[in-house]
Amino acid sequence: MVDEPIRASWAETLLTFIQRYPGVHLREIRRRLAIPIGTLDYHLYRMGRQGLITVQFQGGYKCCYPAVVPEIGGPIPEVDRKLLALLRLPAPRAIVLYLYLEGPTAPAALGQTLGTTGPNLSYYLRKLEDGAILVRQGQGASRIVRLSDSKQVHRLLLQFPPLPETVVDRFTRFWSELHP
Amino acid sequence: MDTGTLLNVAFAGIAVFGSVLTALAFLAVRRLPTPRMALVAVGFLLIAVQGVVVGIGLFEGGWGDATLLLISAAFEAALLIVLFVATLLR
Repeated sequence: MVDEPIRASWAETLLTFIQRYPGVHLREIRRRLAIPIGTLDYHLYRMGRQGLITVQFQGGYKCCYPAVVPEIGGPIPEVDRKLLALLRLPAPRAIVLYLYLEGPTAPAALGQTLGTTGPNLSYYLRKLEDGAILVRQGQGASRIVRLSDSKQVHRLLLQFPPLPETVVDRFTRFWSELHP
Repeated sequence: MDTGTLLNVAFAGIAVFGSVLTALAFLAVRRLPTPRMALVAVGFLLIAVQGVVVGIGLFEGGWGDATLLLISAAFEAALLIVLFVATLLR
């Protein structure tokens, strides 16, 4: 009985976080809110039973969505969930943002700009292609990748804010962006 | 406050803030394990170690000014080399 208010507060914080950042996955929630994994699992299960949120596995991640988004007036459509879950991961988010801002790009140029390895880029491009978020066109040196629906990306980026940067994120960005 | 106390406080501060930045840098290395990030972490570690070594030297009082200056210069030179190499790598 003594720890009831704490649990209530955790549940409230958790629900607010999921409503603000739909598509966020279990481990990220644990990292951001510092809720023990067992407690987090318990609250997610309870909220799922109460119909406040939905939890689904996407690409090996346990992603959480609010049951109702006031702006939409209902749940987030399945097609948007796929993209939202990927936008919560750093590498796919960087790929999608780059293609959104720069337009169709050659995979080699994309890998060079994002500073990622070939196999890593190839893995995420395949994942994004499987989710029908981007398409690859052409063969060999003339191959390019482009977003299949840039309007959807635009809408989701405006509607749902990215996860806020942590101190470690800012530190990493600052030092990795320095060029000789 | 005499110069000796001020020096003690200054190097204690260098040790503490150097340690905080080292911890942050090692977390960053875990997030982005690149040679540059590892060198940045080593750079901050050097600052922290310098603060501890020179701080202890000052506190103990047995070390001469020239020795402490030489130790400081060695750490600064090492730090500059590490940061220079870090800027050349990605």
